[in-house]
Formats: sequence, structure tokens, C-alpha cells
Amino acid sequence: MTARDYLAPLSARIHLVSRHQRFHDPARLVDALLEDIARRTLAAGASMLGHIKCLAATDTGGRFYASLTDTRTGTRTAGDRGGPSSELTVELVVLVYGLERSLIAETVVTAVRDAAVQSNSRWSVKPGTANHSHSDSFNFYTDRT
Amino acid sequence: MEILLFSGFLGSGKTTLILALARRVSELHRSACVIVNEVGEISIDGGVLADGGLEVYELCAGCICCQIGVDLVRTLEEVESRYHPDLVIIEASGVATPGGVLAALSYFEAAPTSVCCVSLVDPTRLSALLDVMQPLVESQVREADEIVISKIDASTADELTLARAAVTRLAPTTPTWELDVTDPASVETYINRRASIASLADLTEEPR
Repeated sequence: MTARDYLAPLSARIHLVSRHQRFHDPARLVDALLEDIARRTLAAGASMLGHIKCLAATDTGGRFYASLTDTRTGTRTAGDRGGPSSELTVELVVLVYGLERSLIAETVVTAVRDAAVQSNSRWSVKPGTANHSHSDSFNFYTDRT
Repeated sequence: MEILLFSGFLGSGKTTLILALARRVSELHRSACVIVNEVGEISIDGGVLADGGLEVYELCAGCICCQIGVDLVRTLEEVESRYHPDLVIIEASGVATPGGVLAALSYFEAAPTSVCCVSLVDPTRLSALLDVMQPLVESQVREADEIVISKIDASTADELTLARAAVTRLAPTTPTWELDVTDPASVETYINRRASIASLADLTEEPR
């Protein structure tokens, strides 16, 4: 049982690459991902959302900021949302109360994996506090070198 | 050099307001640097502010009110020696108390001409925050020189009433503003009004 005011910040780099068609609206995908992470962390027992936010960049030059503090008010996005793109990189920070970092990381990985399935894309998640990555066999970091 | 410290719980609108304020300062041909503190390992807010064309210093993976106050002082010293800015804006982490940051600032030897602490209150979440994080949230209100009730566009009438009542109870004499931090007109009105009463009064004067 964790304290309600226990805060373990989690940062992660997420990479999504579409398998076939480009992402029609990358910002909408990010909005949905943040909201899914929020719902999942609350379902996992988080006492409160602190702030779930990210900077996202697309391979077509889009760069935008997305922020969520409340599932009722939803995600707010600012910046250049960009057009359709094939790759999406997201620097994510998840600040939620009452959950261990490992559980938050697990939640993020599950949410990204599901988002990737829905958008028919390859994915990777590299949590900032861990020395390993999760992916569906596509290793962005290896491929880029 | 003046210091404007922005406090307020996570997601209360600090970065959005700072971005607008710093742009306004720039329009007035004054120099400003921003120091951003985040408890996470990477600075999302720093990225947003840097994208906005601001000179940004990032202090991550700790809180300047209780963990990395010494880093704040070192950063201020560097900012002062390199840029001599008219204004330094500090964005405290959402879990910082203004008093803790002000205590850290007392170790900054090149005393600023003024320090003003602005705390943001998000009405949409105040009830939940007072339930879970009461001491922190109350400190952020009590220890401020000025309060901004933000996100009024997303608040219900009941949430606004609660926020006003809480601020009145905790800080009855503190100047308080209400605005939608995502509305440029609302933010502009705030900046122009506050410039006449607070530490940025000289912003209305001719630039140096």
C-alpha cells in the first residue's frame, strides 16, 4: 500500500513508426495516449493525477506540447501539431501520486503498446530511470545508429 | 535584477503564463532569463519555453525548495554574470513551497532589487488537491505575494466559488487575479494590470 502523496516521477522516450500508412493526425494520437495513461494509472490505484505532459516531434517537422492534469478537462495541446507523418517521438513525463515508479512504467508501456496496435505501428519505450527498453522487436536506438 | 518566482501545483498553468509574460518583457526591450525546475528527469517545460525563444536554464530531477536549492543559487550566479538580465523568472516545480525557494534565494549574494512570488491556483482541481495535498497547496497560497486563479475557462461556477473562498481564507490581503492562461487577451490584460502594481512596475517606462 503506497501513501496517497507518494510521488515518483517517471520520464520516458517513446517512438512510434507507422508500418504502412502515415499517422493522419499525430497530435490526436498523443492526446489519446496521454488520456489512456491517465485512465490506466487511476485504475491501477493512483490517488491523484499530478501532471502528464510531453514534447512530441514528427518526422515532418511538427513539434508540439501536450498536457493533461484531469481526465475531465482532457489534454491541452500547443505548438505546431504538424501534418501526417510516419514517425513520432515523444518525450514524456508522468507525475502521478500513490503509485510506484515500476508500476507507472508498466502502465506507460502497456498504453503505448495498445496505441501502436491501434495505429498499426512499431513502437519502443525507453524509461528514463531504467537501463533497459521495451519494444515490439523494433529498436529505434539501434536502427538510428 | 528582479526575480519573479512562479509557484503553483503541477499543471496549474505556470509555463503558459511565463511564456506570455517573457514575450511581453521582450517586446518592451527588457532582457529576461527563465530558470525552470522540474521534479522529473527531463524538462518538458524548459523545452516549451526554449521553443518560445527564451533563454532557459533547467534544473531537473529535484525540487529547488528542498533538494537542489544550491543548484538554484549557482544558476542565478551564472545567469547574473553572463547576461545581467533585467528580470529572472523562476518556475518552481509544482511541488515546491514558495517559502522554501525564498529561503534558498537568501543565499544568492548579488541581492536582487526585488523578489515577487506569484502562485497559481487551478480551480478545476483545488478540491481534490486540498484533500490529498493540503499543506503544500495552502503554503503555495499563503506564501505568495500575488495569486492567479487560472483556468477559469475550464472551471465550473462551484469550482470558482471554492477557489475564491480558499484564497480569501488563506491569503485575505494578497492581490488576486482570475484569468484563462490559454487566452492571449486574458493574459495580456493580466500582464498590463499587474505591471502597474507589482515588481515589474518599471516595465511601462522607456526601455534602457
